Amino acid sequence: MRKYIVKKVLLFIPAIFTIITITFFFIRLAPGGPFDKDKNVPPEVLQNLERYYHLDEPLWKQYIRYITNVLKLDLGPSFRKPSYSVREWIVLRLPVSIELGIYALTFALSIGILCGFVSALKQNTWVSSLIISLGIIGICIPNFVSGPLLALFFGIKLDLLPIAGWDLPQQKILPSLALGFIYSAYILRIFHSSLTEVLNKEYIRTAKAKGLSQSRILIVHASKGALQPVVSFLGPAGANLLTGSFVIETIFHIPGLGREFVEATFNRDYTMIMGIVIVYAVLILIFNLTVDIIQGWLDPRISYD
Amino acid sequence: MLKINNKGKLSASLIFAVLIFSFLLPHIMDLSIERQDIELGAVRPSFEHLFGTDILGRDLLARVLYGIKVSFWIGLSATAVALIIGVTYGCISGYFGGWVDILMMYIIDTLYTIPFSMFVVILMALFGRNFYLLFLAIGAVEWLTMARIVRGRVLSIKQQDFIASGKVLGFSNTRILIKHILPNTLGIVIVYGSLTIPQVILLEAFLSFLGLGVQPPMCSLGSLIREGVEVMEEYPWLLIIPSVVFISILFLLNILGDALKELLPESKT
Amino acid sequence: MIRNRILYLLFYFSPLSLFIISCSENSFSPYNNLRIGNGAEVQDLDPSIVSGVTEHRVLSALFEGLVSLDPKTLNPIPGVAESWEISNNNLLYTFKIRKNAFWSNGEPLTANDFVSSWKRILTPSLSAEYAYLLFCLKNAKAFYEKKIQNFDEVGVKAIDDYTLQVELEYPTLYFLTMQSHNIWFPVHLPTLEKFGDPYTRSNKWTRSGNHVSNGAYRLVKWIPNKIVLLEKNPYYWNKESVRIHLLSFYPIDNQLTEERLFRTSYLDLTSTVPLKKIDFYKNNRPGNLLLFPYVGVYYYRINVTKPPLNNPYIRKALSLSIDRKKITEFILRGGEQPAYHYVPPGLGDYKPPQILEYNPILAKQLLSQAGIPDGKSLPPIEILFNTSEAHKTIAEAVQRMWKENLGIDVRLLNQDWKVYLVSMNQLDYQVARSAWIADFLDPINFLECFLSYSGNNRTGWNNPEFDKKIELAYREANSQERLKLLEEAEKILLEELPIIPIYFYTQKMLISERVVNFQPNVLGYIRWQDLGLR
Repeated sequence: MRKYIVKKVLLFIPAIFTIITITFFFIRLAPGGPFDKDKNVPPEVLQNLERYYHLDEPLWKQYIRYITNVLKLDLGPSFRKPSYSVREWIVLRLPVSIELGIYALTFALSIGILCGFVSALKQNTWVSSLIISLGIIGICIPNFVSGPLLALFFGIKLDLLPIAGWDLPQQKILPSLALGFIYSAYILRIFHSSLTEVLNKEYIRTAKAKGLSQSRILIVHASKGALQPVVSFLGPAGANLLTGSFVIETIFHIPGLGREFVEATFNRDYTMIMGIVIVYAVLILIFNLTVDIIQGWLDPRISYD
Repeated sequence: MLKINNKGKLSASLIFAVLIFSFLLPHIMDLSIERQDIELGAVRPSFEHLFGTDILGRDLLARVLYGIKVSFWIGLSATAVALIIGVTYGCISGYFGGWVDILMMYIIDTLYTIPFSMFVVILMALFGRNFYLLFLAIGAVEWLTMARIVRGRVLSIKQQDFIASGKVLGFSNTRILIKHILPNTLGIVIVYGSLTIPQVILLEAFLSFLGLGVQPPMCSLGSLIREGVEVMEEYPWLLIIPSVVFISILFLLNILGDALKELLPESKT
Repeated sequence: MIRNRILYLLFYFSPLSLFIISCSENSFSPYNNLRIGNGAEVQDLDPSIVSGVTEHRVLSALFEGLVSLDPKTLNPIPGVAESWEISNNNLLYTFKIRKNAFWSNGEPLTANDFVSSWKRILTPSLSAEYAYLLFCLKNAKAFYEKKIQNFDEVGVKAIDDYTLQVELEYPTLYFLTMQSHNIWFPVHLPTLEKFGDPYTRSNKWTRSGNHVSNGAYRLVKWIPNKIVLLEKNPYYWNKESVRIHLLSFYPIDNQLTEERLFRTSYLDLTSTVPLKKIDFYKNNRPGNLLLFPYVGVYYYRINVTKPPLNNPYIRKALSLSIDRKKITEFILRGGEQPAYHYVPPGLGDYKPPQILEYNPILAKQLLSQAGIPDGKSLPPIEILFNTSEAHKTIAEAVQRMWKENLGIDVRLLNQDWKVYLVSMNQLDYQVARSAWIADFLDPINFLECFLSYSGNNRTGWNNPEFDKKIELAYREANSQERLKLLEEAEKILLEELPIIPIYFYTQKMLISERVVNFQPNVLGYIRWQDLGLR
């Protein structure tokens, strides 16, 4: 197990290096630079700016400079925020995105698993069909529709909850729901099908024959096996939650990293884009590794050779 | 295909009917997505305009029907791109196995960690002028999962006797791949292909939310929803109607995909 | 309200709240606090480096220049300088700095602070993007380009602690009003030195706790993406006149969110109003809606280097077949005025030549004169715009008008902002949406964009006659003569039409009944210290 983790972590290094390289050259393909403005900046001023940020050097030199700096954990200055370094800026905004992601995932997991249980408990009744249909409808409602609708309904029509900001607990409810919604539907579907599958297995039938109650069987015996597909779904889902949260961050005006990332891309804030990509990549790799480990715990048959 | 369940049959025929409608209705009812009546502006659904009109006084029914066509068109072509790349990649990786497989899968894992929104934004910036490149861009993102699934399938096919006998008979790798392995992946490819279509449609809508979708006055369901979101309080029908249509279509496609999935041998055991 | 509280309590005792106990202070508290929606996040709070409407709103509360503007007339009024004298040739300005001007840390403000601040901007290593705005000072450009080394040769001198002498390169009639731009504000160099090299961009002096300013307000905290909170500056020379104790600027870049926050009483003042909400406020809450002219023009730029649009008849036909009134009345609906000329109204005595009109019949005739009996025979024309719903709607309307009135096929293309800028700069477009907002209140600011050598031209159009008129106007000291030259220049522009003006902007804001003494003006300039709260 330990050997497996060490191996995986060592494999992170070339992966991150590849990502840095791809992104570094890829973003420079897009037309326009960080200092292109609506109102023309005189060439002599532009030259100074480019010299200041070493943008006048040949690309390979900039690349080597960047890699060297990253090894020193220096992500460079932001082009857009003159007095902030990229690292400082990420430290400011990442926690918000992670917090939002945690709430959304908690919501998605609890709703998804609860509904999964209920539908499995009431197998082949109208309750179960209803939940399953809602699950399918759920995965068809993207967050840029559910977000504004939630805001409109709970924030304005009912005047229950604030619709922007990230300071007060009540401000965090709607965005977490909107972000987690579609994932709860996915989890419900996955959990439902794996649960039904497990329920038809030998050992569960035996347990039933012994006269154990349905809910006890579900919770104690079936769930461990049935949770495994859910856990493996969490890998990509976690990554998507993290990088895809910017729609919700924009709608609810949350100062997270996702929104910063999209803004940085539109502004060609190269160093900021690079920094965020690196942080995302590291987080996603760690997330996937954690999921691997949890999966091993849930199913001892998986070997880590 | 014949044993597809009733839900699947129903949704397949409904999808077909929707497509027929979206092609025929504009001609029958003489609808135009471009005709404007600026002075009329946005009006509620009425007999004259069944779905109402938008802020430029354009008929929403016409635009929704057009949007359905565009969304399907994008869904199909981007899925095709994803299939071609993903199947080729997955077959090669699974068939050759060993180091090739490890390396190729490692590349996929690495690509998974690149935030895709950036990827798409930059692609759009580069190829913004070309509508067709949009499909390519979306397809180029969606192939990863397909490649993984195909590889898994190829790994299990490879174990079977007829492949081994083919090798003994001295068939070339290409021949074995194309003649024996590829046809055996077809089932899974069709199923996951059908599940990719709604995902692509969703993705296109998401791009439209960023303002990176199709170029106006063309519209897709995604871009209609984006327009609707901005005016949802004053003209709620502009959000609700395209959203309902969008959700229903995705719903039908997902039901169909699920029905197809049940046909796969794996899911029966 | 009660429901709100119950929900709050429910939430507070839920496990989720464990994460969030840290931030329970209500940052939207209205008490003696003006809560302002400020569009985007400020890039920085260093007046010498940043420029933009968003930043200017905050910086004009934090800092004060030599002169300030009367929000009603937009004429210069005393700021840090209590009085000034101008030489007869309009080249030499002598400012008397008031003796009771202080920095927010209590140190006295002197003429030298202006000299060192302006020197900092002109130091190339700082790479201040807006350094060029100072090039009207004598020898400033030469110093910036390192042609001269000694800053003493640049036209700004502290005669003594309280006398500042400024010498200009050429007569600049708008020099005084220009002082309201934040680039001219002084910065406290000793503070900058404390937090790093003052001549680099990464100085940390603008952070909460470090910032020192000289205006009516001073910085309490700047939490990026959350708030810029200012409080009344106790050292401000005119602190008695400052009525509101706290200013909270919230960076809210989503217009709809901003409007919702206003409607739910979390904001007192917004940066804009979503296009489609204007009707709602007009009908239901007219007291909250502020619509007033703004010196900006929205126009379509034409690339005159490529056929068929190198033909002025076709350009004229295109202009004649846009029904501007329909666009302003039915699409924009925010009181915008249709643009039948280029320079917006409201710039003093300038009388723009009104020669554009909507006349589809004449348009059709012009097209046949150009040898095109029917627009269908022309290849499709492409309108480029940067991604935005508002630009899209207008482009779709224009597309339809050209199709209906002239039979020309029009395609639309939206590009993300930076790509769009590159396309315009490289003349890789046919028709492109554009706009110009005044930097200062003078028609020349609009017209000089179309000098053949201006970086803002971006149409490929050049007209020696036009260039000559503008260059003469630069040197003309008689303001009547000067305006006449500019009017003639605009006439040339409108006859050749490298651009098609569409409408003049309005400033749109939502303002709460609590705010008193708000004075709208064409610059959108707000003098925070004059405002009061009920």
